Amino acid sequence: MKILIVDDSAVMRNMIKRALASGGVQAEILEAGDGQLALAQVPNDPDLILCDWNMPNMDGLTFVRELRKLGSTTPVLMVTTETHFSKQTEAKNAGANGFVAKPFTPDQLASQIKEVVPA
Amino acid sequence: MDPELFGAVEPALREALGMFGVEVERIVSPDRDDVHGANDFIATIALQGESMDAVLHLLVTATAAEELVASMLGAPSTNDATTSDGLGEIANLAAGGIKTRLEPHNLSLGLPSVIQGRSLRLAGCVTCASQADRFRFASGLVVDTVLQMKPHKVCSSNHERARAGGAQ
Repeated sequence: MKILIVDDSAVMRNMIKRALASGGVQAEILEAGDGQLALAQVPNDPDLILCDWNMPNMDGLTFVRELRKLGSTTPVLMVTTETHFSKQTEAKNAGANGFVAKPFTPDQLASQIKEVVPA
Repeated sequence: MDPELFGAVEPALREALGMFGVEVERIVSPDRDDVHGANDFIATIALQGESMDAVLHLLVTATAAEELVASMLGAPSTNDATTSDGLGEIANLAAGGIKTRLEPHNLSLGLPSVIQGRSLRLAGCVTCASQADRFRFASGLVVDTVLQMKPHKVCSSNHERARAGGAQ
């Protein structure tokens, strides 16, 4: 599996990579520091995108909208502190497939990935 | 004072640091000037909502910052930029925990900002309610938190100002 991690914090991207390994998710990792940079990674055909919400340049919600405009059906999990119901609805309407609330455990991350990416 | 808001700080910080295995205990009545001064970091993040605005600050020494970020990375931080990045993410996680605990207020988070410098202090704000806490982790190092809450349209400018001597 190829996973694109989109987060403006390199430390958080590193933590997500470690959480994936701890949660038993074996993947090739692609990285992007904001939504704009993530769009440039789309041609690399990730199987899953883990996307922060609050980022400079292009936030996660805008990224998901732009991704869907491109016709991509790649599952997107928002990995974010934005967990309010209204935010979840907004993201799902934009095309996100699910949420992982920060802070999270490796098991919670792995469990959410199984929900959106069939084994 | 807003007990709901200020009561959320400790569990939110515990949850944030617990994500990478750091446990803390709250220190009652700390001497706030006993550890800071040489080379400190302040991470600041805003929480904004329809009924309240708040700002969370984390103040740590460079040594404490490096220890926290090493726990996040599973390896020592190699430079100040990485340490600042990690501290900003801790502020983001802690603020996220506060936000989750105040769900009905539908707060939104800003982007965290981090400054580094000598003799940093968190300035007060006469129109804001605020709460300061200190938490100690296993090595004996500490993280200071200050949460400031302002009524809308009363305090307009400088409640998040840090008075810095020699800020970098």
